[in-house]
Amino acid sequence: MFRDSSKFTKNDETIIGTSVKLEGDFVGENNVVVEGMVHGSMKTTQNLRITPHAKIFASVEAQNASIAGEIHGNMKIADQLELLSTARVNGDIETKIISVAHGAILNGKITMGNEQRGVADIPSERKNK
Amino acid sequence: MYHYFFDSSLHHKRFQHNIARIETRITDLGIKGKVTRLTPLHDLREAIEQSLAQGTRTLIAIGNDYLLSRIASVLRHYPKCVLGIIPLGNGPFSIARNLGIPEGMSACDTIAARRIEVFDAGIMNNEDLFISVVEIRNTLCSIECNAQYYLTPLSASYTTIQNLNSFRYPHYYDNPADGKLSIFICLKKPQSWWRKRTTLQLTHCTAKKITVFPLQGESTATVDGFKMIRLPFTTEVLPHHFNFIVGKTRLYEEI
Repeated sequence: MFRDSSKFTKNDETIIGTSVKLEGDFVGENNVVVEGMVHGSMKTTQNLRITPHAKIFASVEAQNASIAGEIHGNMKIADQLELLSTARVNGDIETKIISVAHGAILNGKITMGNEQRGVADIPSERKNK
Repeated sequence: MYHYFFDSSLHHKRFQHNIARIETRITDLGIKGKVTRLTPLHDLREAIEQSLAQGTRTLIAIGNDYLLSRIASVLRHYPKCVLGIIPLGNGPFSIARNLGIPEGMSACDTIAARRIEVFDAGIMNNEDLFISVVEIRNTLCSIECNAQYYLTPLSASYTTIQNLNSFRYPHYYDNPADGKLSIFICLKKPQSWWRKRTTLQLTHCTAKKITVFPLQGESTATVDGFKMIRLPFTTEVLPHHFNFIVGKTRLYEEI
C-alpha cells in the first residue's frame, strides 16, 4: 500500500515524520503516513498508515487504515481497518471491515457494516414469497 | 521578439569562445534578439520592464539558475512572458537540468524548438516570485499550512518549500504545475552514539498557502538559492503563471 519513505521522490503521499508534531485540522486528498505526533483532527480520502511509534490524539477519518501506533480518539474508516499487533486504540471505531492482530489493544465501541438494512428496506416481492 | 541577458560572471576571458559560438548559433537559427550584458551595476528589474514595454515576449537567461530566478522574480505582472535558459559559465544548473535544457551551445536548439510548458509560481510576501525553492537551514520554526494546521519540528531541521526541486536534495522532484507547494522537513539523526552514519527522517506535505514563524530568535531563509529573507514570511502559489521553454529530457513530474 505504501512505499518506503526513505526512497520517497514524488508528492503523492503525505508523511508526518517521527520528529514532527502536527497540530490542527488536517485534510488530505492522498495517502497519509504518520510516524510522529498529531493533535486535532485528521481526514483523508485515501489510505492512512500509522507506524508503531506514532501517537495520535485526534479523530481520524480515512478510506482504509493500517494502525500500528497509539490512537486516542474516534475513528471512522469507510472501507477496511487493520489493527496490527502493536496498535493501541482508545476510542470508538466505525468501519465496514476490520482485522485485529494478536496483541492489539482496543478500548471502545465498534460499529460495523454500514450497509445493514432493516425489514422495511427489503423489496415487497421478496416479502410476499 | 527575444531578449538575451548575459550573466555578469561571463565577462571572464575563458567564456568568450563559448559566447561567440552561442551568438553565431542563435543567428543561424533565426532567433536573434536584443542583448544585455549584465554587470553588477545593472538594475535587472528596470532592464526587463523596459524590454517588455518595447514588446519583447521571450526572455532568455544565458548563465546559471540564479540569473533565471532573478529574471523570473520580477515578472509578477507579466504572466504571458516566455522564459528560457542557456546554461553557461559557473553553475548551479539544477533548474536547467530539470527543464531538460543541455549545457552550452546545444541549448540554442532547444530554445529554437520552443516547447513551452506552463508552471506555477511561488509568491513571497505578496511581492517577488520564485521558481524553485525556499530553503530554511538549521532553524527551529513552525509552519502554518492553508491556515488549518501547524507542522512543528521537535528540533532544528532543514526545511524546504519547493515548487520544482531542491538544490540540496535535487532528486526530490516536484510537479511545478499542480497548484501546490511541497514542504519537506529533513532531520538527520545519528543511528547510534558510536556510529557516524545518519538516518534521514523526512516529513512531506503539500499546501497552497504557507506561513513560517521562527521559534528561536531571528532566522533567515534563502529563496531560489540567491536571495535572503527574514522569517516570518508568507508564501503562496500563483497557479500557471510562468511559461518556460523546456527540452525533451525534462525531469520534473508531469501531471
